[in-house]
Amino acid sequence: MQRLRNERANHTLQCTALVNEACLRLIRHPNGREWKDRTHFFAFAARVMRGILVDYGRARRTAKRDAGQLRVALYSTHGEGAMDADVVDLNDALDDLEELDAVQSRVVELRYFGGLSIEEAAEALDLSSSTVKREWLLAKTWLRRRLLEGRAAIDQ
Amino acid sequence: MRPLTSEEWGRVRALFEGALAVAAPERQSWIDQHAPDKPVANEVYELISCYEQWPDFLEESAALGLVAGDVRVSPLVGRRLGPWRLEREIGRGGMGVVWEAVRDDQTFQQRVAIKILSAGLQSSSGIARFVEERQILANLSHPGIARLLDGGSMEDGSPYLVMEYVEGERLDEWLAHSPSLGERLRVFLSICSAVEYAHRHLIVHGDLKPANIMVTPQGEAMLLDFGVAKLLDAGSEALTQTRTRLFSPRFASPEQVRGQLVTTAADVHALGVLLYLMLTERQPYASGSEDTLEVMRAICSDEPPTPSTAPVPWRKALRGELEAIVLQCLRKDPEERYRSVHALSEDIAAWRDGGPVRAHRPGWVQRARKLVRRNRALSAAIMLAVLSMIGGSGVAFWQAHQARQERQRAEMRFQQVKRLAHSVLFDLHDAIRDLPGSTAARRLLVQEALEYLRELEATGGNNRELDSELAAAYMRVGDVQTSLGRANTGDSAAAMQSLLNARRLAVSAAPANPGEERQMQQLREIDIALSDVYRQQGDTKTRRELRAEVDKISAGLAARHPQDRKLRFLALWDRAWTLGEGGRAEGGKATENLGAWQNALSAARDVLALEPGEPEPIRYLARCYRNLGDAYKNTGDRASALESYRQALAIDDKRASAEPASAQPKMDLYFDLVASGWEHHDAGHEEAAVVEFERAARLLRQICASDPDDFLARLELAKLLITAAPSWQHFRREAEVIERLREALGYLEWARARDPNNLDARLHHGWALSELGDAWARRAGLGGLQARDHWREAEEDYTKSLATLSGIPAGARFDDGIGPGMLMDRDTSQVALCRSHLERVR
Repeated sequence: MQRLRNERANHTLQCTALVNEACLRLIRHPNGREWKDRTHFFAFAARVMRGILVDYGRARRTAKRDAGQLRVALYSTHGEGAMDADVVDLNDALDDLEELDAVQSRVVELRYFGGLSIEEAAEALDLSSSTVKREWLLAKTWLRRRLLEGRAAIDQ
Repeated sequence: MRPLTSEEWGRVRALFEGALAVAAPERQSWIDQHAPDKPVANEVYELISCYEQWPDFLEESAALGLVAGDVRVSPLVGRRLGPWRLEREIGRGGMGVVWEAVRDDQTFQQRVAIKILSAGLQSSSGIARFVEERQILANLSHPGIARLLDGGSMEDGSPYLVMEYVEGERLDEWLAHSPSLGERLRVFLSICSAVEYAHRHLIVHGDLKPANIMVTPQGEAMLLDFGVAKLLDAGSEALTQTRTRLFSPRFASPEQVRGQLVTTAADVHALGVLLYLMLTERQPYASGSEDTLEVMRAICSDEPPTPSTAPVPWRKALRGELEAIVLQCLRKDPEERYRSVHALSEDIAAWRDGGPVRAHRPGWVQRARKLVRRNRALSAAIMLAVLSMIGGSGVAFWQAHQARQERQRAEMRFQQVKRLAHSVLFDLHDAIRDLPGSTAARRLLVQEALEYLRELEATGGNNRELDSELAAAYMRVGDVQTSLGRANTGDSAAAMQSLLNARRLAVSAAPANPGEERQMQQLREIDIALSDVYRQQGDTKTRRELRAEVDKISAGLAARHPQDRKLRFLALWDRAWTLGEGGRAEGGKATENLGAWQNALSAARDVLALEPGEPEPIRYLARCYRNLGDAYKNTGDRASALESYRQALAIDDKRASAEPASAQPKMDLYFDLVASGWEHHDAGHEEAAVVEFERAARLLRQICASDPDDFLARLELAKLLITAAPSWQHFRREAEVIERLREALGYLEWARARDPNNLDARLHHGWALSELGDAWARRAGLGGLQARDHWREAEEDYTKSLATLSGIPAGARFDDGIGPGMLMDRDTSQVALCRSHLERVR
């Protein structure tokens, strides 16, 4: 007995108003709902955001078209030291950090890509806030230096 | 530098932390005292000094960074504002004083205009709002908009804004040189382009007028003060007061005059006034009057004089279409104006190029798609912001926003966000759709959305435009609930309900716009999705009826638009599907079906030639090849079948490696592999078949592992494990076949628990049990001490299979016409066989 396989006939669904509205609703009533698993969702959102940002960063690198207006402010300072570092570089550095210290890399992912506060990240990682804060400071400083090194290597 | 060992890293961590705890000037000596050796000390020095230099690094989350940019309030010292040195006053107006200034730090020279506003910000919350709005404006980056670079507030509370310095003359000065009609339209279009850009960024200008528009020496328009009116609005406590003060009455829309919501439609109106002025050199309302009240009255109640009556050399050119365009901008009812600046500029460009000026407005969905297509990067930015808000970080921002009890303002903002988000945020779902592991998140979005839809529908009344939107929404819901083509949550009953809702709404929306084909396309897509659900239910009759409907719709669409290659392709594609149930028509129909697929393939190539590199046409091309392969197979042309599958495989292989994070190309590749595997199997090349099946199974296992909620991948994996069992059996020991069938059973039990109404899953569950019975029976047939146990196992499995299959209506037919009956007949005779063996052994 054998059979052939075909996936569904046709599929060209475009996006709909639905998702927008879903999001808007979430935005408008931020406390209106409890996620069943907050932690999981946070981690997921952070991962998704990292992926999307890096994909866009890569796309922008390969195709330097005018669409590439996605600037990510890695620095919030003005004046000296502000450098428009690339999210792709950050991503690579984060991968390196993961090898050195996996927890720190998770902290950065949650804090920077997921936008979580220290307390929220602590909850997500099941660590104390003070631990997360310590790890965060070192992790981001390590990354900062890593990016500078990378830049120096390219300059040479 | 050599990498640190984990032991050294541990020390670095402790020292870094310790050093941070002491005061900055003492850190170095502290490290010297405590570091065990030079390498560790160096490492800590470097890190500490890095931290001291860039304490804010990464402190702003990625998504907020996108919104906020890098503008910060800087304190003011005398005539130096931050890095800017004021040089000379270049203008003075109702809003404040404008200075020319330069940045005079060492790094670079930059000339700017600084506007010091006279409107005071009266409270810290006012300042906070001002800063927030300003950060949004700072992200506007368009060659036609003078960029907002920086800003802050002076000691007395007056805010100031640092803007790009623009050379050129004001629009009214430029008009005094009597430019030609063509030049006027060109400048106007460049104004439109800037406004349109801002609208996409949720920014309404609210105060478009000649004094705010510069024409550069190159003849391009440059908009000043973008969003400044609104910015001040945001920063001020006395909202209504400032609002009346901040717009220029001559260019205000009726709704602004009445103090109602200011939306993008107000800018469309202002553009209409500008265009009127540029084309006729007259004001549309109360021309010649200086009385503000009179102007405001005229805006609300007078119709502007027909533009072609103006004494300008080109007045004949104005007659007809061009003046119709102007007047459509100036309608009193915002709903009757152009829906977007884009639509307006398209019409003007069409008029200029001698094309048809569109009589009616484009549909909402079309506009949205265009916007999304044109601005992928922006979509991503907003999507991220939204994701982070869902994640919690943006919550404070929006709560603060909500806390402002200015209902009107919130409502206005909401309207803008809604309108633009409608177009842009579409991408949120689509962006995560193909990411592995996103099924659960998609379901969450869908649940939320459904609830919202029901409310909207309950309050929406009889609104056809809304019906069409709702139909599109329900269709998407159905897609996430169950879909034969991509990851889904597996809820076929709910999917059917959603799709029937979608169909009902789409049918009711269809007659509203007989000229618009959008509804017909929508109906086509809904019918296709519905036919797939019926296919899962084994309801061949309804599925065929729907497919015939689909065929009719797309043939009609293609006939009405003979030039449209995409519609032509879709019609041929649908035709081929309807003819052959995919590529599977047999007998006399096989040749006809082969021809249909050849036509579809060549049409797919035409579309691809039109849009080279676009992902969707490439995917269609691969699918055409696969179906063509099936069609060849049914005519008995095996070599061509294999070649077609090879083509499909090559394309999807490339897609899958180009988008490793995306599940869809993997799924497509899986279908290709299975098709090709079966071809090898039928040709007697079991070895080649098994290679394809193994790879197919690996792909599906990958997808399953990455997405614990993906219904489709699990069901397909189970099907593969069952149907390929005979091929595996050639090379594997029975024990392994049994192991694989048990794996399949695991997936099917999960699938049936997830979606009890899914008859396809039920059928395969029965089938798997039946195959398992076969495997035990084969083992039993080998004899041996355990033969009796094996017969008993087999009997048990066949009996379970019968029980499972008996729940399916006898007439139901699934892929390749398989129904429960043929499986049950076999099971029944196998049970008898088992029993006779068991009798004998006894």
